Amino acid sequence: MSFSLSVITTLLISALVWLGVAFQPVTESTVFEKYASYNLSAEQTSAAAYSMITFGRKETSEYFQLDDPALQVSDDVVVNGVNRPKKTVTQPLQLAAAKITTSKKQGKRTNTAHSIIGISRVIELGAIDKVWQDFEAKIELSNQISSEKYTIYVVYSDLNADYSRAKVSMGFLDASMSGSKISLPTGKKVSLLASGKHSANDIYQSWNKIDYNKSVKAVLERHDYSGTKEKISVSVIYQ
Amino acid sequence: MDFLNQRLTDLHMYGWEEFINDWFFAITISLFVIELLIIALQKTMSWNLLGDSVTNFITLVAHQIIAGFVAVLFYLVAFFWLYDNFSLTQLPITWWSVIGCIILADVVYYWEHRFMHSCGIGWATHTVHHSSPYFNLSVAYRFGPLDSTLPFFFHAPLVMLGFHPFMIFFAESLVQVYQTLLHTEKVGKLPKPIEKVMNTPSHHRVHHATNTQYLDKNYAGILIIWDRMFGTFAEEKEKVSYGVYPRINSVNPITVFFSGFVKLGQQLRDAPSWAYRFKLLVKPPLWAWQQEQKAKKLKREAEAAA
Repeated sequence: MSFSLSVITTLLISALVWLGVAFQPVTESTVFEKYASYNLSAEQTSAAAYSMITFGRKETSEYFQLDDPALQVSDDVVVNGVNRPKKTVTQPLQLAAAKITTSKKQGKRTNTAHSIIGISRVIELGAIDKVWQDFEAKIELSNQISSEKYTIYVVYSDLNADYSRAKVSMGFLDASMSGSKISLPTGKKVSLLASGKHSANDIYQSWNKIDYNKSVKAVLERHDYSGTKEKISVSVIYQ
Repeated sequence: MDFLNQRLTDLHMYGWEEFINDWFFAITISLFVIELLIIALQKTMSWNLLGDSVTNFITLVAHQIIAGFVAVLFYLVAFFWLYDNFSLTQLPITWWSVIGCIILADVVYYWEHRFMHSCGIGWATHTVHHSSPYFNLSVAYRFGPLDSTLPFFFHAPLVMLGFHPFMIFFAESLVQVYQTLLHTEKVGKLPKPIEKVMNTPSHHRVHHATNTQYLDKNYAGILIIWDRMFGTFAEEKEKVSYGVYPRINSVNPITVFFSGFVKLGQQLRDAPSWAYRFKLLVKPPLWAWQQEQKAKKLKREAEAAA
């Protein structure tokens, strides 16, 4: 093969590989991903790289003050004890959403409900992933989604003194669904994060806006989905 | 296979790169000790071989010092700057992306390696790696002064395609580690399917050869298919003679480390014109050798005529 043909072949191979990588389905992973890649600016990322090369990974966490007691960074840089907001639409939900045709859209039907259909667990907040996994595994719930627009609430209530343990309820805001009904807490909602596209760090930071002098009844995370788009808002209800 | 599409962190990538570099160095050193024992048992051990091996590791230290400065002051910053400002997109960090990145890093390695052999400036640094008359695992660590700098220009396009810098470093490390393990005479030919697809010690012995039919062949990193596709493949058929011409005949690490640039410097100093100097930098080393032979021939003819 001639030199120029070799170069052209290389470019074609590169394009093919790039397409294969660029259009892969991606499953979201750990909170740290969101810390590490979503939320650091260009300068911070370079600084992170410097720090990592100079001091190693654990020290990097400390450099970025990710050793906040609430985060409890472990050796393998998995962040525990963090309010873990689920950013992605879960796989069963995606499958269910994909089945829905535009004609089946049901508008604002869910907005008037005061309860959610889902699951409840009492957990260490670091184990929030497990709740999402259990929730995702409830295919009988996601199969009932009848619109590409739907809402999931995550309710943190019965929080312990150091906010490390809570009752977490997770469910669809859809009165027409059948399943375990969980009442949403009532009271005056104080917004911590306005509805919009937010990173995990934004959501984590929103917890810092809670007035900890007051007794917290519940923290509500609302995830509004429209197809694969997601808007998140966070609010708190005080006692 | 869902894990292939699970998003990873950039720190994961950095951690894996660290892991590979650290542990494979330890493994390679262990294998090298075994290789030395075999050489001793075969009674082919010599002081010169030992000196050459020590020199190889000293060039590694020199290379690492330069690489450290280059990485921190230039490579890393430039990669992140490109990634943040000039990348087509920012590809997700997943194992699937890593596989893609390794394939592209491997083909990039092929071109980088071919470049090193195809121009004066590249050969000035890469000749160090080829200058050992031996072929053992320590030769893999025989580096030249610019060996950590030139790869930047070949890997930067991967950053611009959207691969995260740490993913590229990881892929580069993997290619380098694989390459390292090829530097041995103690492994013969592997089963045919492997020899067809993968780069092997046999293929890489050919790359290090001074035998005429083997010159400028087998540039591959992990996959030999690039050489087969691009017409630079040669099969190991006759016994390989290692090294470069002219021979260095030294185990002095300073002589070895700077040998390529000293030679290039002399050629540039003695060049008849600036155009010739430019060609010395961009033309293949063979061109410079041919010019020298022509000049010598003309000189001899002139002397004979006189």
